[in-house]
Amino acid sequence: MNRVRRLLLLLCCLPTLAIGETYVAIVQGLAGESFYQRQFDEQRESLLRAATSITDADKSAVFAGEQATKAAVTYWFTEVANKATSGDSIALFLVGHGSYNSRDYKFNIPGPDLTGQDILALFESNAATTRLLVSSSSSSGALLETFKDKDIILATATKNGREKNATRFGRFFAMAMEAEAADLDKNKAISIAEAFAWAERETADFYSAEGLLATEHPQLVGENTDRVLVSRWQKRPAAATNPVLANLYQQRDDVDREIERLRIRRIGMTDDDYLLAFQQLMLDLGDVQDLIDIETGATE
Amino acid sequence: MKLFAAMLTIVFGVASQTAMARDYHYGAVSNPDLMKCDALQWRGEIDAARQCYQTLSTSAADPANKAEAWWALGDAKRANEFFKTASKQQPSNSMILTRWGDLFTATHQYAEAQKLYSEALALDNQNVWADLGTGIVLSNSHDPAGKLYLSALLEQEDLPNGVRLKAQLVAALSAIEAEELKIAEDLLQQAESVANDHDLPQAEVYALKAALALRAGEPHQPWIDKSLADNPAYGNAYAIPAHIYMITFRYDETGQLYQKAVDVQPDHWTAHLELGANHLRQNRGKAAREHYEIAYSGDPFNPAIVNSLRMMDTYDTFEVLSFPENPGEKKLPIVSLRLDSKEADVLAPYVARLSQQAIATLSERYQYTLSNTATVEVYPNHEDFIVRTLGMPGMALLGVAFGDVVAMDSPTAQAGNDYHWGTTLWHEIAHIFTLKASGHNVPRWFTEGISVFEEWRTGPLPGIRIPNHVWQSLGEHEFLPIAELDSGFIRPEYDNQVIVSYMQGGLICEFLETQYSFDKLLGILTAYRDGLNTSQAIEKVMQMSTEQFDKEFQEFYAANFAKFAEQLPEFNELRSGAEKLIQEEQWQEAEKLADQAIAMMPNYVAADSPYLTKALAQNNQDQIDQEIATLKTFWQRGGYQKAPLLRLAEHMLEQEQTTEAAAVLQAYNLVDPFNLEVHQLLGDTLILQGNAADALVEYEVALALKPLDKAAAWYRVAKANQQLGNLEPARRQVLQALDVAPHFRPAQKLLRTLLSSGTTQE
Repeated sequence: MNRVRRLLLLLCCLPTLAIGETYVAIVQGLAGESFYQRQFDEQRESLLRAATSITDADKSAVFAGEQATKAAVTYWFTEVANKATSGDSIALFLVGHGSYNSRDYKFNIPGPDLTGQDILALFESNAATTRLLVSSSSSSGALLETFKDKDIILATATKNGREKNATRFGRFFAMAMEAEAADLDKNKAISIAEAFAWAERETADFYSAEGLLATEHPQLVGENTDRVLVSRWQKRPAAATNPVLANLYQQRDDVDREIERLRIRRIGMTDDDYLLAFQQLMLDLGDVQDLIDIETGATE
Repeated sequence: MKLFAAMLTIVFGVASQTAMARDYHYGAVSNPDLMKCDALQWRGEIDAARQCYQTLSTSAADPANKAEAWWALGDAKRANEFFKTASKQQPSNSMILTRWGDLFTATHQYAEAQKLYSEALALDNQNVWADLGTGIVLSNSHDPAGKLYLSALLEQEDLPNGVRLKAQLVAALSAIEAEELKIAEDLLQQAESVANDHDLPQAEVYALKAALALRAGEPHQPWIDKSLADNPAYGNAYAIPAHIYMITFRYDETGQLYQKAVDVQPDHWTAHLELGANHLRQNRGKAAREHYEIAYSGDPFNPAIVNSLRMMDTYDTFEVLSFPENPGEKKLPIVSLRLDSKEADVLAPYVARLSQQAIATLSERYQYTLSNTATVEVYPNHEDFIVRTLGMPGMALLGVAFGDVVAMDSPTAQAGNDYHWGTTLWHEIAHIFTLKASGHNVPRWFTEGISVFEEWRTGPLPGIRIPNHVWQSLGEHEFLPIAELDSGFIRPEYDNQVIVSYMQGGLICEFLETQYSFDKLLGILTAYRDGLNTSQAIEKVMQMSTEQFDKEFQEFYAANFAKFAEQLPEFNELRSGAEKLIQEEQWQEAEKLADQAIAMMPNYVAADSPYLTKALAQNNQDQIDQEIATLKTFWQRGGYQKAPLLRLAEHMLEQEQTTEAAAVLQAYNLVDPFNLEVHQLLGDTLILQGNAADALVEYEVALALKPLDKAAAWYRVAKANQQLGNLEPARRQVLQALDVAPHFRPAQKLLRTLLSSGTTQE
């Protein structure tokens, strides 16, 4: 899909996760060693805090320890499938170890493992518009083949199933949820694209600094990944109770849309003309943000 | 022409019509028909010789003679096939194997040649021609065993005259290279007698006499004339002395003689290769490529030619940048950089700044102004740099200077190694001064000595730094007399001797300056410029014999440095003891031992320096002020390990010592200019100091390193430009930041500030 078509699509459905309901599941698999147990616990906690920042507590679920079974996860997905409609979003984060037997991926949990085909079936039974799967396990790259052309955003720690060593990506991905440096567009929220980019860079830096040959090569596939939020640092104050604020948010959203429209028109513009128009929108955005800051008491 | 590394392993099956050098064989073959053709060839009657060889190539009954004829006609493939046939027909004839080996030697396939010589010797252990071939292969491979092998051969009494003559000539060339002129003279005298007495060709003898005369500073043209009188088409009459010019850095003269070599012998492919390399040294890429391509057309088996052409292909990815960009009317830029386009934006600011600093500093010290722009080439691929320098990969060089041109490894070429590119650049630029100021008439020991000395004295890493393994060698071996110090570089006799010779050269300069005066260094340089040799230069400038000089230098070394070599075992024991205590977390005891080690060798700042052990012990005792003091001393004495420098800078910043922190971070960039965080941190530190100009450089380099957080990177560049009053660039840059991150509040505010302070684009 070319850039213009992508941007037009964005204008129709922006911002994806904010339109409907958002459902988030975090599954923490078997750790094996206490070193990994501690790491996975920390990652689960970070991801849970992030989930809470983008959705209500009753729409997120954590499966860890003995609760992390295939049956439990399937049950939750079935429940959500019964509720979710077009416009909703669903995200699944897998924290733990994975394996690959040359046929299918397996995420290691108590009892029967979750296979790549199992996970695909869970997603395909759901009507949500935006579907996201993040697996930071070893061999998670095997999912790329399983999820090919499925219109599901997929982030994996490895590029294929043959990268079987324990991974570092998950740790950095979880850290990205709360890392200011990962907020590349400075909107105080982290998209899956931002979280992935930051974690991917940190992973590469880790191997480089340690002088190790990288045994994982994270991958991200899917459309509009910069629009799918996985963490938000500032929840919008309830605009419904403050009509002034509601109006200001509306104005800010309008300027955001104008910016997107200008970007689409950019191809036919000179750089100077584009910058001049863009500059005006930035001044408008700054003015609205000033008023929002006054109304909300924000200090920045 | 695009060539790839895979072509290095060319075999005979690939090319057919190429002329491999078939040099004088001095009687290794004796067939009368073949000798008739050879006589024509050696008299320079090339067309007649060719016709003769062509006839022989079809009419000869013996396939070995056919092989010789095809070889002379330049068809190595057919020569190879006929040698193979001949060998099958006469499996016990060791001379066929020897000549077959000689064919492989001529086509630079030394391993194959060696195999055949060994087979020949297995058949006949008295085959001294095969011994000679072995000695030549070893010499051509720069194996020190070559010299020993040939010496042993020459000691035999009943050698065939041709073997004796060729062995004498090969040994003479080695002696000339090592400036062992008396030995060379004796060998050539004997060789001339052998050739005269037994009616063997003399052109090579005279070419070597020309080389000897040139090395001794005597007229060499008469010998060249004699060589050409013997064989008017003998390119080596010029090429052999040209080689001596080349190893003594006389690049103008090198080029002139190699040009004459190819004029008299257009199919002298090695001379074309060397001429190409010389053009490259003198920054004439187009001419270099022309000669490399001619050489390749005739000698595609020569890996040095293939490598050189492949390396030149990489120039397509290089950018040329001159500094200052606008030097002023009728003025040349001071330095021109040739950088790989992937690295240019990162390296250019630092390489340009340090090069200009070095040139300014050394111009003043050596009272010499460079008349040309200095060119600095930086290679991200070490093997490309080595091929550019030597034609063949595999050498452990970091930088090299040829007159106005410096070529060196980029930090990326040495990633993971202990490489300070800044001091390498300084060292090489010092060579430009010694080469130019002496009219390219300086011995290796002195130009290296001054470069090492300037590294210590004026370079970016202050202090005398001598590696531990060199101290050890200094404790085990005597210094070479100054008059023979060049041989330590050219013909090392023990593992560490080259690096020991570098250090000896540096210490001699240190001795001259501290015990006499810097003027003595200048005086010796001037004496070399005037054509004096080392003994004469020392006598004239120091008013003493070289023996007296050696004695004084030895006393200086004994008084000031010998103790370091003597204490080395104890120092190493203390150092490793301290490290062991660190592992055992006995911080106080570790610090104590490290202190004792430091007291012994306070300038020892290598990666295993006791300063770093001490700093670690202090850190673990939460003695941050003391740790800073230790790391600061380490840095000030020339320590440059990346992690300790970063730790020092961070501690300094925590304590708001911003000026020194900035200096430490700048020092870090001379080791690793590819660390994004360091550029951002240094830029922020410089901004705090109000130094927006230098901060801008850091922020621009950070941008060139493709940061993930582009919005912040553009914002920083805009902010620095704002402080410099460059409001319009700042406006565009902050808009770049906002294009990535429209909700970036500091950028929104900066845009408003910029527009309200006078840019016209509101």
